[in-house]
Amino acid sequence: MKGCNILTILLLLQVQCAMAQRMGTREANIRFFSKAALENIDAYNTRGACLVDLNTGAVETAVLIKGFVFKKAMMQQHFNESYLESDKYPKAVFKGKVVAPTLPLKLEGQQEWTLAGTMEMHGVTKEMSIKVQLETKDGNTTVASTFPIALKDFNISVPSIVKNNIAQVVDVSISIISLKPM
Amino acid sequence: MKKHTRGKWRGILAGCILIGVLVAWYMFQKAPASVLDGKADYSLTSAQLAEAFYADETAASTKYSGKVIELCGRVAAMSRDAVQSPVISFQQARSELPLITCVMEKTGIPDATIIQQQDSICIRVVCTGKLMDVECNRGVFIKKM
Repeated sequence: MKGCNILTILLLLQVQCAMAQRMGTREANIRFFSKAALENIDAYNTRGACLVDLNTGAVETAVLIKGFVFKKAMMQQHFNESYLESDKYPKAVFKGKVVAPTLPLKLEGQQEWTLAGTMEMHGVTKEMSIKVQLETKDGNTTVASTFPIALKDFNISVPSIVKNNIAQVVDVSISIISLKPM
Repeated sequence: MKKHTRGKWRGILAGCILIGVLVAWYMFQKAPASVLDGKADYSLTSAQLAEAFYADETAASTKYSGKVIELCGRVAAMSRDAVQSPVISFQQARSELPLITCVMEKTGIPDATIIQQQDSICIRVVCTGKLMDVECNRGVFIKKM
């Protein structure tokens, strides 16, 4: 009976340990910036979701297109209605794996991970490789990454009248203040 | 006389073009309208919104995403996001329902308003869809009940 109890406790601990290997956040800050002749375009969304499975190296990040906040109403309207068509394609999703020589992954000190996977946005799925910087200090892990997205890769067409005023490549940055067990 | 009339028309045309450019510039520079401008598209409790997304996420997204909702419910938690905007989560009526999480405008909660866990409140928000939670943003506090 006593042995059975110890076995149950060990099993529970193992389950808890396995669960703790999934880290993530619902509060990833995703920002994009486009430098253009007439005016720079800058928008952010602080409610990106991100999950990392340290056992398998699988990573999934998603953001709602309608959640991006712009300073100007017209930019927001064009972004949603004309460029990203957010009614039709409400999310942008990256699914991939950490390219790592050994698993499980460990969160310690300063690290750089390379993520290889696919980005799905505006109805187009494209293979991408993204570099991510992580820093773990006192049990807290912060994440930062910046990568370019070419509008043409995702069939985002810009009307010719404003073509010179919108950059064809947009810098996207992701920052996470704290990855937590999920 | 003819020259004078032509000059007058040119002046009117130039004036119209200038006004057009100024109107276009004003429209381009305009900040997004407050959710308080005009009527809300829907008036719901947080449980009703959660149930709608739980029952059929696609249908609920089509119906509510991008719409102004007057949302009432009991506060489960309050925090701040990466740009220091207040974030309010509503209590779930049932554990299997998604959370409703609302990012408020930085000035969306008046200074004198103290919102605590368990308070029943109404806010006006724009629903942006569902990821892990049902997400809303541009929230403005309406009242405590």
